[in-house]
Amino acid sequence: MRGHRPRRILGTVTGIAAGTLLLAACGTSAAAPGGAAPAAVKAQTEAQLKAPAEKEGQVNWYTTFASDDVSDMVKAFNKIYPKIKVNALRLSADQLPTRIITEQRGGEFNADVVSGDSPQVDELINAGAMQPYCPPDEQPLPGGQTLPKGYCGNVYVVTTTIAYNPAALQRLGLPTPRTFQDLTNPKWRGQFSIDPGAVNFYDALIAQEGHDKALSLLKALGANQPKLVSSHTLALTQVEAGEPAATATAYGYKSASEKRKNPSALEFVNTSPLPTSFTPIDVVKNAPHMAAAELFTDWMVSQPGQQAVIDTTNHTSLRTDVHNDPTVWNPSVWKPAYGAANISSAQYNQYATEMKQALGAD
Amino acid sequence: MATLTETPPIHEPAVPHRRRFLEPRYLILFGAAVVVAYLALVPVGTMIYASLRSTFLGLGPATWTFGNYVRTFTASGFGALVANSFGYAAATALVSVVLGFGLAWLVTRTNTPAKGFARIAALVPLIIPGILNTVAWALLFSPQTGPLNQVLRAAHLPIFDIYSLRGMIFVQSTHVTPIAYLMGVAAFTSMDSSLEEAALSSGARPVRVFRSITLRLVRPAILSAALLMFIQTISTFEVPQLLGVPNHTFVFVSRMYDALQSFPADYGTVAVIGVFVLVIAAVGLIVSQRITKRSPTQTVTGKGFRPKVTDLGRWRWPAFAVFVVFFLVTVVLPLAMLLWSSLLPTYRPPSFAALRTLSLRNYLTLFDTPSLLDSLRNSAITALSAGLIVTVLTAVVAYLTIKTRIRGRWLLDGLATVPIAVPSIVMGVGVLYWYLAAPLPFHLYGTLAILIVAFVTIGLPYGMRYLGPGISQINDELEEAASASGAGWTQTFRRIYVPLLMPSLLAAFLYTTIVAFREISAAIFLYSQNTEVMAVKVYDLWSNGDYSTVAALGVVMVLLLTIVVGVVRLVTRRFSLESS
Amino acid sequence: MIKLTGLVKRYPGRTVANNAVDGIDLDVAEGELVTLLGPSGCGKTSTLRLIAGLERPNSGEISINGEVVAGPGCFLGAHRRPIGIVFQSYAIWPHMTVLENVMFPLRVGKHHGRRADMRARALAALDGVGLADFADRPAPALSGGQQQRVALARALVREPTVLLLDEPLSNLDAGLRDRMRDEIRAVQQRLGITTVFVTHDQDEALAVSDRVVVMNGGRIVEQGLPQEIYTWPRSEFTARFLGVSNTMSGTVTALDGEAADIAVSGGTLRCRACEGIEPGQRVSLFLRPESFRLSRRRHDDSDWAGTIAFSIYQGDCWDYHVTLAEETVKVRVYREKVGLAHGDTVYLKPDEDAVIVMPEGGAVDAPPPVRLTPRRGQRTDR
Repeated sequence: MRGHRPRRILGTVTGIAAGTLLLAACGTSAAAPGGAAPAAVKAQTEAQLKAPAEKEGQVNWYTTFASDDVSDMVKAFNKIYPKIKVNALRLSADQLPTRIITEQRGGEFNADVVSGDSPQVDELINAGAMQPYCPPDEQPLPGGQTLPKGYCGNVYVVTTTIAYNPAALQRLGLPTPRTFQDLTNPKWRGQFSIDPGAVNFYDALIAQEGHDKALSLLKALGANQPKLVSSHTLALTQVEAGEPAATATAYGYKSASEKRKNPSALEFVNTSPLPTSFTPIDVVKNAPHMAAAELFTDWMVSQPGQQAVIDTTNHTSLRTDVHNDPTVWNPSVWKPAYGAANISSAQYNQYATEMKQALGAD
Repeated sequence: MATLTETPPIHEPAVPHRRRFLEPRYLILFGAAVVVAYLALVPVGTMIYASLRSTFLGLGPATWTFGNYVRTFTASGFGALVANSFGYAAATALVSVVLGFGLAWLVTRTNTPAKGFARIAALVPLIIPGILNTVAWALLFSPQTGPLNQVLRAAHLPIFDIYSLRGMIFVQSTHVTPIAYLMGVAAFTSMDSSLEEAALSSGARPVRVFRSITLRLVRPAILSAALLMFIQTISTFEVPQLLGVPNHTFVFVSRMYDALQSFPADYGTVAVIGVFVLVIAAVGLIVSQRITKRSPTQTVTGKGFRPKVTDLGRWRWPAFAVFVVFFLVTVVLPLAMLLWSSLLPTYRPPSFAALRTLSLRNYLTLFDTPSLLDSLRNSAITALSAGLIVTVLTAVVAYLTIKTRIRGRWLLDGLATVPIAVPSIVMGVGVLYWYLAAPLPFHLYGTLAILIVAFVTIGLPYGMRYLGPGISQINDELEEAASASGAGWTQTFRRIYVPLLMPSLLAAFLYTTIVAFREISAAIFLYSQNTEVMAVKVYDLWSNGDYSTVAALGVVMVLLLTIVVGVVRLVTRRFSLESS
Repeated sequence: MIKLTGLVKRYPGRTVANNAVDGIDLDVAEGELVTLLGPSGCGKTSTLRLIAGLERPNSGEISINGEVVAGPGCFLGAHRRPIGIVFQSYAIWPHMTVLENVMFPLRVGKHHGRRADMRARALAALDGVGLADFADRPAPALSGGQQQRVALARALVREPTVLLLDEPLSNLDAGLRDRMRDEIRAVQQRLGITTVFVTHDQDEALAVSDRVVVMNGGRIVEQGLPQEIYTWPRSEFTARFLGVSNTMSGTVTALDGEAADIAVSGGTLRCRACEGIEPGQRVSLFLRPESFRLSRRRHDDSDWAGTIAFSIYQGDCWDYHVTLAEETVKVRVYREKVGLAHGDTVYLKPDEDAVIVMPEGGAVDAPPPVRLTPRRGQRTDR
């Protein structure tokens, strides 16, 4: 990429000149990526993939991993495959589908691998933007759940917990929350934050107690004037800084690691059942570096990859041959309530709209 | 009567001077005009197009429709959205212009001591990017834990909630007041104080003179400053996004961002709001230009009058206090907050207990993080290239519109001003869609070039603001003398215009580079893997709650920009000394 | 040398009736200094700029030295014409030294020689205007008069065929102006360079020119030798512009060769006749303020009686406004005639030989022929 710079600038200049002539043709030729789902690619062994992947030399990874985790994951991958450069683009879950679909409709196939929250990845699959692919070492999802047919691969699951600042609670005279219901108490009015785009949380609530109850819980939370903070990590930092006192949509893995760093400023509560969401990883259709994409995906779901995920990010793996953080994940104590791994676009839109309206983010 | 010959028959310019268009002068001028027109029209055109299509970048067949307008304007909450946006922008414009012009008057026309505070504070928007300013104030005035609110609480005063419309107005005002101040200084120094003296000697009391002479004369400047503040406020992203959205206060920009993040993205709404803002801004610009043109002050500008200094007497000290407060609020507090946060391992409000945990570790982390260094490099490349391109383009365009009588030059002037009326967020989206959707033979998506294109477009009006006055100050005869000495146009431009314009060129370069460096609203749609720029990185880190790294990065950014500003000022001073 | 034919210049946004230059024909002979004289807005500067190539004519033709430089289908820019120009503002480039300013025309030329040669030529040009010692000064450090000289040196350094001067003296103090005027004339005559000089100041025009061209409304009103234009203007416009402030109307009663008897309100004057008048015709008479004898006493029955309306002391003369029976005339008296005050009765005797006669309407009919060489002594031949 480095060597291209002068040509890029030259490209700008010629581009501007040529573009003028085409001004009238604005927006008429969006390429159509949709249509029939492409045929599944047969998984290859690592030995078969490695040479072509190294020849491609790089892989573009669109991910919702937290920024500071991304570079550590890349380092872990590069320990084993030093010849493949990983170009990571960190996006929030809701940016992910828009970004890739916009690119593809513009005829731009840039992303190789996507890992992100399952509702959004489902959106991408439903829109025909992904390449069916199943990594060889993949373990099936629990509870009989599956991704849409032909698609497999899960990087981690996230649990949604309530995180709070004990000092702030004391200062404000607030009771320690134990359940999401507790935050609907008028005492909590305006004292907690929530992510109005956390469809995976809503989805898991629905799985746990049904649509209507889940929606009325959200409405009750919304009526209590929560601060709207889209980033879960930001929400945690704010709680640690003492304001607001709690967040309803903290991720368990991050709460636990932040608590280790700053034990006096952060506590979190796992509810049972515990809202849990999948985070699939998939290869993108027409990926410019297909072999590298597959190799990267294979590594990510494999035992070493999964252990790297746990070690660098504190995320939770569903594999049985790895060691998860016991304060985050212990299915025998906190029974997981999985959100749907396969959600239709109509359903997603419905959930997203309902959630926004319930929380007053509209 | 005494005509010596018959008047020859009048006919239109006899001959098309065909060779004329092959001269380098016309080729260069024409080329620059085409580039500027293209840059300015692309985002606007794409936006208008998208607003009139039933679907955009969609799979289904699209038809022409006004449906988007009907749907957006009749949506519930649109009235509140308009009210919020206008209230926010108008109040910010009012506050910043009153403060800015007030301070400017104190600096230029009174004997208040320690005016240096105001001069330094005026550099703030150049060195503290809006997003860092917003972040710093969000921490300072955090309702419960913000140190300033704790002070208020200790004093048994009501706290100030930064996450509110008032908070947005406050933070945006701290950011734009210094710009209004600079415009005020320009207006007051170019005003001949003999006009005021004439009123005084006509028997008017000083207050009356101020009201009916001074204020009247700077009124066009006030109006155009207010309009500029209004437009800037209504189209910038960081304050409404960081301070408004958490408390459910939406304005145009945050609503557009929201509509773009939802899936499928609601292009229609975005485009309609974009067109709406554009129309408002364009009407405002036209009105303000009318007013400025009609204003009599235009005839008294340009000369170095010695402004009359009013003796404030005992009021000097309150005025001095105003400067100190202005300096504290715009410079010291936000910078101190950034510095404090940058030294903490995890963010805590200032306290003695936290003092023990201070360390420089975050700075070490910065230099240890390749993606940060990449973003720094990307910012340097894009900002410097954009600054350079804008400076060259606007120099040629300003020459074209001021020094030639080529037909349609007013249109070109207008086009170069258009981007100021386009919210940067729309600019980003417009540029993105165009380069994705238009059948172009080249490929800019995911490159730094697409960022440069956006930054150049955004920078055009700023470049014009420096080079327009710069070029009109150069007497036509200086160019004609060169021409009559046998110098061709390119030689004249290089040997006469460039050296004489050097201070304006440097100022334009500096300002547009910094605008590009801190620009985020457009960049956030255009970056990709490997092309992330620093402002986006700051937003990203903030969104991830990584206050400490944001702060450390912010401090580094501020240092870098301070150095750039300092160097360019030194160079400019040298040049203006030489040519004075 | 310079030939203008049917030259028209129109600025955008003006109507055809308001052409800046409205059909000018003019020849300037080799070595001649021609002045374009007229009030502001008369088109004189536009004409100069057309000759320089700083403007494009809308129609008409310009040739310099036999080469067409502007005309149908062709236009040479200023930088391709053999000219040197001095502007009203001098247009000294502030970012260069004096020497650099003067060297500039040499350096941008196509066939410039070695730097040392250029330097020598520039220094010689500076020497010619007495500024050799100032060569290395920054140009803005010079006084107005010195900048003026630098501009002149710069205009001449290329040894142009044509020198164009656009109000070069109007920014100078009165005393300096006379000196510079004489210097310009001296340099021009020494070099024998064809020169067009634009001014609105009649004294300047009369002092430096071989020929004066009076312009108004984009057209040439009349042209001639300075003394001939001054003494016997052929149009009311010229007469007024050159300070002939008293006008009367009268009737021709008799015509006798060169002399004409003209009846005016105060009696009959025997004046110098002009072309195209006949007995019985109404004519206009123009009298300069200095062409009166003013006295407290009546010397003659034909003297005009009047009273002093007011007086202005000018230092070397007095100006009086004298109210006659039907009109007020301005009278200038150079003798020590002090003590006349408002209301005093005085007697005026016009100098009949100095009265300018024109057919009523204000212009002598016959257009003066366009000549390639200055007309010399034509009037005295009569």
